[in-house]
Amino acid sequence: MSGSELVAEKISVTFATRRHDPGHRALTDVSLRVGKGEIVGLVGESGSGKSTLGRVIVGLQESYTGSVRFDGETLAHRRTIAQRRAIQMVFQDPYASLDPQMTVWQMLEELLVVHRIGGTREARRERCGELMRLVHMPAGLLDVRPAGMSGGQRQRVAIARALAVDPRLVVADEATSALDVSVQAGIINLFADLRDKIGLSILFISHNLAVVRSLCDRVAVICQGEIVEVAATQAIFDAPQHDYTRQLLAAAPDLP
Amino acid sequence: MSEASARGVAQAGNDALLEIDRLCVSARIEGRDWQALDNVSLTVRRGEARGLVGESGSGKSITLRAAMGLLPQTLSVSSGGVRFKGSDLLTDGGKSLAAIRGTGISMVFQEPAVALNPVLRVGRQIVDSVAWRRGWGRKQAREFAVELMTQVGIRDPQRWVDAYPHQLSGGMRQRVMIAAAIACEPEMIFCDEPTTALDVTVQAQILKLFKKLQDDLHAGFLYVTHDLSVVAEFCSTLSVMYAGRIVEQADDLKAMIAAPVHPYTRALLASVPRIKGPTKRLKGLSSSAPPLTERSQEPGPSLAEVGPGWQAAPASKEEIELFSAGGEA
Ligand SMILES: Nc1ncnc2c1ncn2[C@@H]1O[C@H](COP(=O)(O)OP(=O)(O)OP(=O)(O)O)[C@@H](O)[C@H]1O
Ligand SMILES: Nc1ncnc2c1ncn2[C@@H]1O[C@H](COP(=O)(O)OP(=O)(O)OP(=O)(O)O)[C@@H](O)[C@H]1O
Ligand SMILES: [Mg+2]
Ligand SMILES: [Mg+2]
Repeated sequence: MSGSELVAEKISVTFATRRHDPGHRALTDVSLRVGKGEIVGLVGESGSGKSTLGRVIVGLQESYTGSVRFDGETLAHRRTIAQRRAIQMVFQDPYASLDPQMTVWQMLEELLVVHRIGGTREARRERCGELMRLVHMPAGLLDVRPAGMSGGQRQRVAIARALAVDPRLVVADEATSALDVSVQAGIINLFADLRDKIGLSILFISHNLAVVRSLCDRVAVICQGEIVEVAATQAIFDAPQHDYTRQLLAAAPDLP
Repeated sequence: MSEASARGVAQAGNDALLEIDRLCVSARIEGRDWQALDNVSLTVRRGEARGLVGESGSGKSITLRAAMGLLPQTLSVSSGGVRFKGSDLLTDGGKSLAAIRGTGISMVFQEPAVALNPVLRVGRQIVDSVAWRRGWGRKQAREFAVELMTQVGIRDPQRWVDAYPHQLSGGMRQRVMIAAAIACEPEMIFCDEPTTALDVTVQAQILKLFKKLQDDLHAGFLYVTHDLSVVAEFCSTLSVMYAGRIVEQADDLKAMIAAPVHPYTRALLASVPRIKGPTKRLKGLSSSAPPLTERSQEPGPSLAEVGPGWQAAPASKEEIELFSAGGEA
């Protein structure tokens, strides 16, 4: 499967936390493009609306204004099953996003069955083994439930689940934050390979600027619900234009 | 480190806040016990921040949970001890642990979903233990919650103090946990990836807050993270874990980062992406450690002194090969 172009235009989202509350504006007129076979980094303040934008794009946040186009087609707020398959998300908090009752195998198999992928049970089992290998997980953990895994293992399960259905766009929300640096390196290389070989598009949300720098083609910087700067990765790191971008770069720790 | 200062450290032995001593934890999987921790020993002194880093799945969270007495049912301590200010936490029948929890020791968990109650307002979760102990009323407790939320950098805390966890962003939830952990002015704080969901400016603010607790209260930290640059900035001592064991640790973090001894520590440092300098394809390990059920159940070799306050496990031939082959992961 190959990647596709995503265009989000003037997306706004407002949440009301209390009754009679004018509401909290999480996103204000955010526009962003992720090209076919492109990895775009989304970095910025905590609470600035990154996960909310991700949820709008994958169709989980149904109340928003603005439009989401994918391959030239405007997506309805409620998605078809094919659209849901094409755009997958790796959630920020794996523990909350995985079903505690199911083993990894049961979770992945259910997904493959829903999307009619894999043919026989044996073929599906083989595919799941291959997925585990891709995300650097020992195959032995296929039959384990989330509670029996470490944080980083759960996160890799979440990545495997997103990749299981051959998506064309992946929204990766802090998808490598729980991985040690050597496994993280493996996942970064995997994402880069999927982009280069099959043209997968990725919106890569992360607080880790060094990872963003080594993986992304372009970077968007978001602050308080608005995108303040978008540029090629090298330009962002070498010549940041916006004050907030400069602040971020100045605060990033690095090894001595 | 000079000999004199090494002796200084040894003399400060009674300053030890937390001592984990040859701790072994086993996991019950399909009716059999498997080793999850193999003789983990480490010390945290008053005012010390010790980094605990290592492979994903190596046992860092289990080490913290065991020390807190918060192991899930399938896991249990099979031998070894944990002492806090000299008194044994594990053999005191859990009673002293209950007394210590929330007063002397607190913990920031790796995943907010594990620690926060989805149906309780976050303000209440931050101050509940303190308010109850200090006999505070609703209003006073709420004010304190708002103040703590300000300290951890949550904008407009008045708006969020009455919100439920699902209404907050990942980083806000993480900061709610941090606020709850520091509410009782603990002497010892276990941190499990406390800043992974925070942008770097908020992260810097949190590290500053931790440093203040270190300076003002002489709080000790055992700080688990994958972010080696954060460790280098905040911690002064470092322990490295691989497959349930500590493979290297030093009282001088900088010296160890400059010249790591164990091949795993070297491989780990080689795969850190950098914020400056040329970008290149990163080197990962060619395979990650096997699950518990595929690991050797023999105790590993004990650590050997490689310098004052610096120990490393002897590496086997296979390990040297595995870690130095590295290359394309
Ligand atoms: N269901 C909800 N109800 C009310 N407010 C919400 C809800 N979901 C998110 N918000 C608010 O919207 C804002 C943006 O949240 P979002 O999770 O998108 O931030 P983020 O950029 O992903 O932050 P982080 O980096 O901390 O994960 C936050 O202020 C959050 O409190
Ligand atoms: N409840 C459990 N029952 C059985 N095995 C478990 C349980 N929890 C964790 N494990 C196993 O124990 C090992 C250590 O887990 P732990 O959570 O301590 O890892 P970690 O070092 O914190 O990793 P990460 O960096 O990925 O969070 C893992 O291999 C995991 O599969
Ligand atoms: Mg988020
Ligand atoms: Mg962990």
